[in-house]
Order: sequence, then C-alpha cells, then structure tokens
Amino acid sequence: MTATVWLASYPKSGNTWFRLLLANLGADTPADINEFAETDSIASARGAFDTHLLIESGLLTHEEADNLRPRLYEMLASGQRLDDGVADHLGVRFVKAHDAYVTTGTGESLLAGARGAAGAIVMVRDPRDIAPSLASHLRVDLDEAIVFMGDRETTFCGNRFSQPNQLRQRLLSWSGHVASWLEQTDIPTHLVRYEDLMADAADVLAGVLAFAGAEATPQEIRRAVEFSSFAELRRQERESGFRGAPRPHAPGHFFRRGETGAWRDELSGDQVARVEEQHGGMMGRLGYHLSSTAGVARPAMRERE
Amino acid sequence: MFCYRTAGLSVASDIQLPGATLELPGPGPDLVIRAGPVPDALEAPTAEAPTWQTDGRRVRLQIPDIGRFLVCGREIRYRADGNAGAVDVAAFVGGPLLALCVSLRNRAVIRASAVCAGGNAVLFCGPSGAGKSTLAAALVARGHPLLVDDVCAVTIAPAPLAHPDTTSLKLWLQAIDRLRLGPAKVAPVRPCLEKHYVAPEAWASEPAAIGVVYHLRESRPPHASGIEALNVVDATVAFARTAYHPAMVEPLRARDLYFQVGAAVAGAAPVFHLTRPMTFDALYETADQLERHWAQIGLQERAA
Repeated sequence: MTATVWLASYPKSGNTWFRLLLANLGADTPADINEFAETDSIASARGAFDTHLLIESGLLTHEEADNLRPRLYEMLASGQRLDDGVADHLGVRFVKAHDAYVTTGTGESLLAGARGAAGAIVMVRDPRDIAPSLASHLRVDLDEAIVFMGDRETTFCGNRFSQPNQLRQRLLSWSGHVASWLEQTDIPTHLVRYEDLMADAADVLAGVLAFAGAEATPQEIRRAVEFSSFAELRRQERESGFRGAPRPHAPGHFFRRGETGAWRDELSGDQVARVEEQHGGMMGRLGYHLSSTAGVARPAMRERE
Repeated sequence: MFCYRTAGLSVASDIQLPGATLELPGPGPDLVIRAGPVPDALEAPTAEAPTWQTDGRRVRLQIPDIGRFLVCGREIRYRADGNAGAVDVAAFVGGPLLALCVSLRNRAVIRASAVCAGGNAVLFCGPSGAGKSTLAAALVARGHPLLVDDVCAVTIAPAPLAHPDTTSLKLWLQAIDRLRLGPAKVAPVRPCLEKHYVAPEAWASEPAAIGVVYHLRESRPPHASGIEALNVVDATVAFARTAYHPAMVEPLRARDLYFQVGAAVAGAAPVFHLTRPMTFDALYETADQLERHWAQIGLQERAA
C-alpha cells in the first residue's frame, strides 16, 4: 500500500514550491507549473469529499463536514480511492494540508491520526517573511496580515454565505498552527524550515525522502532542484501565468521573491515588534532569532519518529 | 403523500420536496420516498466506503446527524436522526439521493444546471462549486426558463433530452444578494445553512431537447476566457466525467452507459468549454456572451 504523508504548513510557507520539487523528481524536463496546479490536490479539496463519501458537502455545515473528514482520509490512505489528483510516483502520497492539527466536534483528529497518514512533513517559515507574502496573497495590507497570523480563530474558506471550492480549514494563529503539528503525538513528524530549503534544497529534499521512505538518486535530486529554481518558476509564470495564484488575479506574482530575511526591507520596526511579540516563543523554538539578535540559528528541535 | 415529477420520474413522497414540480396523484409512481426501517448494513455488498454500501441494486447511505437511507430504483427509504427535521432530510433526498435513484435505474445523471433557449436545453456542467446555479440564475433573470438546478437526468431515445428537476434555484446568500434576488428567496435549504431556495421567474416543466452543452471552467492560467469547441471524442469523455456520482459508475457497471449517452449528446448538440472569470462582476458579461453565442450557433432558430 502506498503510504500517505502530509505536507503540512501554514499558508505561504513554501508548500507549493516543495511539491514542485517532488513533482520534478524523476522528470526529464521542468514540470509545467500550470499542469501541476491543475492536477494538484489538497486535503481540504471539496471534490474528493463529495465523490468518495457520496455526500454533498455543500449541504453540510462546516462542523458537520469536519465530523466526516476523518472517514475520508482513512478511506484514501487505505488505498480505496478514485483518482484524487495526488501524485504517487515516488511510492508515497504526499498530500498538502493547510489545516492545523485540530480535533473535530466529536473529539477525533480531523486528519484521522495514524489512520489518515503515516507521518507529516511540517514546513515552517520565519513568520516575519510570511507576513508580506500572506498580505500579497490575501490582498490586504501588512497590518491586517499580521492580525490574521495572530488570531486563533482564522480560517480559510470558512465563510457561511457562499461555497468556496475547498472545505473550511482552521488555521489557528501561526504559532498555534506550528505547535498543533509539532506537539501532536498521533504520527511522526519531520520538520523542514523554508530557510534551510533555500540554503540547500538537495539536502532537505534527501532528508524528506528518507523520512518518508521514498527513494531518489543524488542525480535525480540535483535535477529536481534545478527544475524548481525560482528563476525557472518565475520564467514559467511570466510566460503563461500561474493557475495557483489567488483569484481574482492580483498584480504581481505568486512566486514573489522566494527570499529569506526580506522582512528587513518590507516590515516596519513596529510591525516586526508585533510579530515577535505574538510569536516569539515559537520563533525561538524553531531557531528564528528575534530582531535584537543577528542571524538565524539552526533549530534546537529534534526530529521525532 | 406529495406527488411530484422530477428528473424524469413520477414521485410519491411522504415529505415535501421543496422545488420539485407538484402534480396530481397518478397510478404507480416510479419512485416512492418514505420513512421506514433501514438495515444497519447490506448483506452482500459489492462495494463500500465509510458512509455507503452497494450490492449493485441498492445503496445504503449514512449521513451523520441527518439519517440513514436505503435507495433502490423504485424507493428512497429514510430513517431520520434525532435532531434532523424533514427539511434537512429533503435537502439530501431531492439532490444526491435522487441522483442515486436515477443511477440505479440505469439512467445517466450528470451534475449540471440547465435553462431553455428557443425551446432547447442549454446545459452547464461542472463539479460542485463551479458556478452552475449562479450562471443559471443570471440567465433565468433574462427570461430563459429554468430546467435543471443540479440533478440532470439525460435520456437519448429517441433523441437526447434533459429532464427538469426543479422549480427552484438553490443559491447561497452571497449570490442572492449580488443578483438582487432577495425578494424571490423562499426558504433555507436547511435551517442551519445560508443557502436558500429561490423561485425563478420562469421554469420549464417538460423535458427539452439538448441544444448545446457547456463545460464550465474558470479563467485562470493557462485557460483564457472564451468559448472553445470540443471534438466528439473529448466531448464524450467530458460528459462521462460529469457523472453525478463518479464513485458509483464502476459498482453499477455504468461506464458504457455514460460513454454511450455522452456520444449521443455530442452527436446531436455542439459541446464547448465555457471559460470565464468566476466573479459576480463578470456574470452579466458572460450572460451576454452566451446569448450572442446561441445566435451564432443557431440555437434560437433550431427550435423553429
């Protein structure tokens, strides 16, 4: 049976880029970013829910849908599924999830614990770099993005007046999201920092594949990194646009800067202080030094398997 | 009993089905909907999932907090859960369960909305959330009668026909507000949802020959806005992919049926991708574009 591994991240933490890296493993030419986005899937996809459970999620409240989501993930992880758009060419189903690791109203894990997946890659990024990227994605100003990241009640697709194309995702705050994944004890996790991915993608990718039990040669990994370079992604986005960008299309690019530490140019001193005040504890755990301290240290956290 | 005609079936139901066309009681309805015992499990299921089982003739479905359902080609039997009201049960019975029943009668049923233009059915196909009902609502407001909101039963003998399923649109509050349909709001689809039955200005109560089919796409890269014809093969495959319950196609051995019906539809009517922005601001422009397109393909004249 093909194991399922969550690619869990707060939005704008490099999840799309990382999945492009995986899609480029074993490829002879760079994966087309729009073909990738068109067939890409996420745990909260509405279509997979409706198709596999025979229940119209649009007739359910968010809470009722949440209560059924564990059944869906158990089913998909057990191999009983129609094509749900998840690539498994590496012998592992890596499935994107923006949901925090939360429980349903009936008290069970929304993502079905060990029955839903064998493990999780937890992708994190310096919240000071997430803020500008999130502001661009949500088309709000930086202050609003910072409030969004500090609010434990925030959701994606959570309104009750229309039907978004995804099921509601409870995000919690940025700190709460990361803590929910790292502190759960249902499944093993492997922490990936966006900054380490930028510094040495091949090394991080090799670590992820080893954790997930997938295999690739050093040459395949090297080529996947080349095919997924920001220069290549920006070239494709410039030529044909990117389906994964938020709608309606905002000016600018989905693949924005792809830099680490750009917050120093983009956030005011007051904004930096607010992010650090709200999330300083988790930032410290992950090795993101507060602005009074120069540089970014390696995380002190150890992998738990 | 309440008597209706919907999705090509005469129905006798012990609960009201909001939106279905009421008719006078007749002998021997095609489908009976009634409360009754539902077994905990089917004896010899040939396919199953956490919420459903089938033995090829029946489907047992369990929807937590709503109820248990046993569906065959002639009956939908339900046992409502404690807190679920008749309206909650009816929301599912009149949609996905009705579609299951049609499937179990070996008929093709797809996820589509439809309006009439020049007496022909104009189908808008797409998954849940593709904007089918909203687009239909915008066209109904221009005087094109509503034929189908969601459950589109299609028969091909003697010619491809789409069968009406409703006299109501089901729209979310945001769409109702943006389309200024507040006064036409009838009742919530479920008391706990901001999705409402909305009375259309006009509706069609008879099956209509399929005049044109559009598969809805959002204009996002790499797909630009526009109307693009599908060849017969692609049109047939696209039709088969719009089966209302894709998970039931194999267990009910219906793959050939969907290709056969899809090929017949593609042979009788032009099939297109309609790629448009999914914003309310662009909706009226899309409606204009469609009316121009119907004139170009001779849809209005074809009925004459």
